[in-house]
Amino acid sequence: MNTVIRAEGLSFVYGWEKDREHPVSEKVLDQVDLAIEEGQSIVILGENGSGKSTLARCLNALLCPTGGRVLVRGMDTAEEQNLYAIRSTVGIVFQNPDNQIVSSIVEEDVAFGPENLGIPTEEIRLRVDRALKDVGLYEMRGRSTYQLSGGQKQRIAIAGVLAMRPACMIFDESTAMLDPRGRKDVLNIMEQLRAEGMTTILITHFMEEAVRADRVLIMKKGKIIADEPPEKIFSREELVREAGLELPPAIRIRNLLRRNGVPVPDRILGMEALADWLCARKKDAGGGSHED
Amino acid sequence: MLRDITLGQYYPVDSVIHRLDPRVKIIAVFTWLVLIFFIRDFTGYIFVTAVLAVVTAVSRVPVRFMARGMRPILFILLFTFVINLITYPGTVLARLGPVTITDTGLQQAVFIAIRLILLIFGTSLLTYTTKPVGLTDGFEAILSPLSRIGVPSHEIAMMMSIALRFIPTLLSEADKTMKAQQARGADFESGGLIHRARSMMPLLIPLFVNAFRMAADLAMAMEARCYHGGKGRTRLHPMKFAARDYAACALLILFAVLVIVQSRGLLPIPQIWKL
Ligand SMILES: Nc1ncnc2c1ncn2[C@@H]1O[C@H](COP(=O)(O)OP(=O)(O)OP(=O)(O)O)[C@@H](O)[C@H]1O
Ligand SMILES: [Mg+2]
Repeated sequence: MNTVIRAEGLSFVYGWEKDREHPVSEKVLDQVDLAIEEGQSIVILGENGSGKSTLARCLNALLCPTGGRVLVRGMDTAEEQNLYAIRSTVGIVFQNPDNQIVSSIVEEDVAFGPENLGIPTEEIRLRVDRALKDVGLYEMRGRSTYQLSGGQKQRIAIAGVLAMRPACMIFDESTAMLDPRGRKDVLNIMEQLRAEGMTTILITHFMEEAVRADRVLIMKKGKIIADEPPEKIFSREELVREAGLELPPAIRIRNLLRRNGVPVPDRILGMEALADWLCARKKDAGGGSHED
Repeated sequence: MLRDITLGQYYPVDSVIHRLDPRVKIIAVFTWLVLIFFIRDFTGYIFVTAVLAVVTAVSRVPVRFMARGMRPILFILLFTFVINLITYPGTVLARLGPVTITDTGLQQAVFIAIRLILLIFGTSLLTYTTKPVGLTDGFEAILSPLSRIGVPSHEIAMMMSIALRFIPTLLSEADKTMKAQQARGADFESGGLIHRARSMMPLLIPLFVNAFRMAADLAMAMEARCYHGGKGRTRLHPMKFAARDYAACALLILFAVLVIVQSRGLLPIPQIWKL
């Protein structure tokens, strides 16, 4: 497999370039090692201030590491000439839908990235149309961005990143400010991108969004303290609690059942799966007692 | 309350005027602004008003919509009218205590009012028929020769377009804050001017804090999408001169010549009520 992003001993301190003796913050990232393979879907969890957004910004050269290095497809983010190649390879969708839309017209906003990259007009047109179709807003291309709902704005932001044809997309709490409907739309688009082979990194506070990931990373005080598939992470309740997080309800019930001797398997992660499993088990048990 | 300002908005219909190259329209408006000040008699005003009426009709922007846009400046209009009316010396037409209205005063007042109305109608026609993107692109293109002497034309245009993009957002933000504070008993409507200005303070501070956060977020988002100024930038809709743009330029030159010749009294038509 190809490694899209590799971080080696990545450290970051705010205000370090200005004054190395008295930086603005503590070490926000502390010796992070990370390799992200092509096509993986990764979820990053962690309490407020654990350094998730800072990590995301180091991965696409919005911030330059103060220690160690980050390689995107082999390109070092510290090197000026790699900047635009890196930012168009690793795109970011931010949290606030209002504050990341640049233009007042939908298609103009989606075109912003390709325009900056100096792509020829005809090619921009193709990319914008493709990206808008991917997020299901092609019909709205001539609309004013102001009239859109939060969920639609966030989909425009996704289209804006897609139009740069990235290999990897980071969603930094992109669903946090949306209503349930908008959240579902955005998550569905993510799922569809993932199916098409896009590498996705989702930063979230909603633990249930981690269920479908390939890998779940948990951050605490600038360190990655866990990097495992979701079913493993969810079995380690004390680790999750130590990181200041709360397990989704289904997992908590599952773990409680286990503690009481019901052997619920690791793969059960959602309410429906849990209910199905319990019913199937009851039927088996019930069937058994009738035969007696 | 903040929403019904129609002045400066885009009116989305399709017309020849809408399809004209923004550069042509911007230059036309500046020419218009200058020409209005050449005119010194009523015949001239009748002529340019007729031209403006034709252009407005072609643009398919309803006159009623444009008139509604004049409402916010009605007060300024009335104010300058009255001031001009009573401050000029000349043959007294009417007297009201210490205030006198003279013939020159009346003429000045009427001319200034007409000028203001023509100026505003003319410029608002530009914003009604040109998308914000077109406006800023047009300004950028017109200013770009100046970038050689250090005028940051791209940056100015980008600032304008971002301002236009964020005005509605900030207005709705202000609306929200206002409602939230009214719900907690704040009173923005009663009291004298100073009292009202002071009651606005708790509204302005969160608004400013918010605006700065927005700016920081937006800068980050723009950088993430590879923004690095105007160098090497391409456009989704590059501006192109079409046949109609050349025709419009020719008409504009004809119009300018006519206005100047007429204002000098070189045309064989009488100059009514000459200043
Ligand atoms: N621009 C900045 N200047 C100085 N310190 C900062 C800056 N941005 C973040 N920090 C600090 O860095 C730490 C990590 O912040 P970061 O935004 O990466 O956390 P996070 O995990 O994304 O948190 P959240 O869940 O709240 O988004 C915090 O302690 C924060 O105060
Ligand atoms: Mg964050």
